[in-house]
Amino acid sequence: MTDDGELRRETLEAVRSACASDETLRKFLVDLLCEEAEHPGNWRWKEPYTQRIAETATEWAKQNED
Amino acid sequence: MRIEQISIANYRQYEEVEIEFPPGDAADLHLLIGENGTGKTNLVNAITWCLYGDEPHLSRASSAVARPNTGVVDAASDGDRVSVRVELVVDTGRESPLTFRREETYRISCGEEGQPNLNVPVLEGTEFVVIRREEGDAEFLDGEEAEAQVERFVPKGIRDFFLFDSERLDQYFREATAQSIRHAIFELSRIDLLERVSKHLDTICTEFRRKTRKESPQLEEAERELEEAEKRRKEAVSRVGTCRGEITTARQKFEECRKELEGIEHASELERRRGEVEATIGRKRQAREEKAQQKAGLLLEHGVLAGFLPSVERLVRSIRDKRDSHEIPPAIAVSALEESLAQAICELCGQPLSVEAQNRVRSLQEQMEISAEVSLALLSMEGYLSQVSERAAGFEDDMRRAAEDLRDLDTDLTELQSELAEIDRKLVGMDTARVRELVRQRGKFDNMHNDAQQRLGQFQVQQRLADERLEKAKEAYESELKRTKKVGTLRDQIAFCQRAVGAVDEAKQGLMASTRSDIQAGTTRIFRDLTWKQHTFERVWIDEDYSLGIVDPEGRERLGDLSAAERQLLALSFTLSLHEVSGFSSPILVDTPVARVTGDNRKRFAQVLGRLSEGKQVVLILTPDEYSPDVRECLAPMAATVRRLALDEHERSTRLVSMRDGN
Amino acid sequence: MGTKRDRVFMSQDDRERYEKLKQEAVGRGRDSKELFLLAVATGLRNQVRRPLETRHEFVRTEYFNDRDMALLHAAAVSETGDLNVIGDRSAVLDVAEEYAHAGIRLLADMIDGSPHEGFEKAFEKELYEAHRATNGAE
Repeated sequence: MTDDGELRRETLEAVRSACASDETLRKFLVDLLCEEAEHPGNWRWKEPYTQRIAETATEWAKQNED
Repeated sequence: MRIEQISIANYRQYEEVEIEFPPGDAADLHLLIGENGTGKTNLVNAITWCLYGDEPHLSRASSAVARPNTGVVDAASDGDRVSVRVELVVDTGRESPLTFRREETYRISCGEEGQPNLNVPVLEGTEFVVIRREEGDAEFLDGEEAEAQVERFVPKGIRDFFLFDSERLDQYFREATAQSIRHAIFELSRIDLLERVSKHLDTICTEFRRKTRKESPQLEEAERELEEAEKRRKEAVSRVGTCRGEITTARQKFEECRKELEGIEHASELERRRGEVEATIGRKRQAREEKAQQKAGLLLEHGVLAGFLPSVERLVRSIRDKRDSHEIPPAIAVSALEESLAQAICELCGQPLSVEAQNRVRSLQEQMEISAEVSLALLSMEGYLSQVSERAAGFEDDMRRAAEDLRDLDTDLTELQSELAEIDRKLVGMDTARVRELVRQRGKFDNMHNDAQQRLGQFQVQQRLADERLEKAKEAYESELKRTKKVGTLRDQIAFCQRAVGAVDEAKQGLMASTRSDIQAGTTRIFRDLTWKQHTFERVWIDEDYSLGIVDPEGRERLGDLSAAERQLLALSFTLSLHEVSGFSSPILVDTPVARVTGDNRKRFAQVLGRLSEGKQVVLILTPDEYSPDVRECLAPMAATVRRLALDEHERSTRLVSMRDGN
Repeated sequence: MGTKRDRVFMSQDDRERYEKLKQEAVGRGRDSKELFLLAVATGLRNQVRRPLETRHEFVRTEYFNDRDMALLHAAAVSETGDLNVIGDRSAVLDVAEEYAHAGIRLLADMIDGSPHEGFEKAFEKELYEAHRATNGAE
């Protein structure tokens, strides 16, 4: 049973599994999930999302360069 | 979580009622017994109205009536205000309970046009709040925050698994489609957070992509094509999903018809055969009547012939004798005699005739005229008379043939009558009009199924093409992105977002699959634990398409063979498994839980529900008929509260009466 | 030649008997001539003839065809022993009437006397016996 600010264990496990060894991605998604959990209903999500993407994308791209 | 108290004011039959649910020692079971019309179902409606603002279990009669209690409305004066309020106090397991309160305010208007003596309640306002009390402070939540609390108590999407009536249970697996099971699992998987993340990431990704358009025409074209391809793919997937749903529904409906027809399928065939048999009987009866008349005719004919036969035979012999002796026909021509007399000269010898001779000729003439007439008559009847003997001799053969024909027809008629009786025996009790309707419906659903199958094939092809197009568009876009140096940062962000969306989708699928598997296992375990046929059913399964089935130890599908009680038990097991997997410890409230179960199964079901209450709060609302001695014997000892719903003396308001001392 | 009679007669109480016969399968739908001939034949078969007590018009002779007349002639010749009776229509019909009068009574008695097996069965049985007697005699 979820409560404010908490995610289900199962959800976090599912994300971990989907991200495999991509820790950057995993942290990024968990961060977003926490934001969503703290803001039920409509909220101004675009800025936090855009900001986090901007912070993470370049580094992630470097890590995943083939 | 459990309901501690329900307070109702002016809601439908409930003028002012407070129902407390103190937990019992061993079980958290609460029984409410009431006749139809005393407000049983409206108690469920009160709870759903409080939590969700709707009344899904409202009867047709109640839906035509405004919510405020009619007694209160009628007693009010023009301009008075009446408040309809339902309050639920819920123990969430924390220190203080949550209170869910919904209130509507009505102004009473008297003397409306056309209804001068009628008080009409006019809605003025609605308020829904959730009150959280902690450490002496009360926090009032409203709007989305309040709704979020409701979602944590009993999510609206799966409320049917917590607040339901036996009809719902009974129909659940009649109408359960893969879609509704998928929906329940979706809700329970609590992937709503993942859904939001995915949706938001997708939106941003699309915006990033659109930004790249202005960097080069080729990029713009590639991005537009990608967007278009994504849209087309989404539509194609949606069409396939819808079509699959239609196939499942059509198949289920077809199976329902087929199942009902099984055993009475022959009714149409029997009816057709009955018609044929009746028609044949009609023809045979007519043939028999004709044959009987023929036989009577033969009897008449032979009766006549038999009587005349001796006379006829004698006459025939006389005629032959006379002919043999040349007496007939006569030797002398009558004309010669006439001429002789006229001339008084013998025509033969030419001598004159004396008076004496003339008298002899005259006498001879007279004898010969009579004899000639008679002789002609005799000769003319000889032919027919000669046949009479032969015809009369055929009497026994004629009779035998007629009797045989009649016997054959009688045998045929007896066999046909037997067949008709057998058909009628089989048809007795069959509702042939229902059969015709079922056959018609079965044909309709069969056509729908085949039609949808055909369309599915086409849609799947379209989806495949859409997938290919999307792949190409993705490759083309990414290739263009790589080529366009100016979009460096955007490129990284787009790639990252796409990977993130992919990971979220994968997590969603994983969660759904895990939830599905857990519910499947839970349903199997609970069903096997509760069922009274321990060795008949082996396992419940929910496949990837979210179709539900149940198999026996030999692996044969048995969903269609479940009795009504077993079907309800399976639905209940599924429900309880959902509770377990979801982690929701919310109470179960069941209206008329055993109404659709009969005989011994009623007691079994009651036992199941009783055992359930040992682990969670169970509120059962029963009719007196359901609360039979068997059921009472099973439930009353473990119930924390047993109360009766009764209308007051004016029958406008429901009150509660304890059926147990001290409660 | 004798005078040409244009009808045969029956006794008054025979009317009811003919009606009774008409109710039976053998007589249903049959005309009076056919029933008259059956009555004559029944009288002949049982060798009983009775003078009519009263004379009521019954069947017009124009309805008798040549075959019907042949049978009546045979009966009259057999009764009188004189072939020339064929020329005396009146004498032929008299014979027929008296046999019919006796015959219809026998038939009516058979109808009344066969409540269980029915007239048709009883009549058929009698014909079988007559037929066997005739064949046996041959």
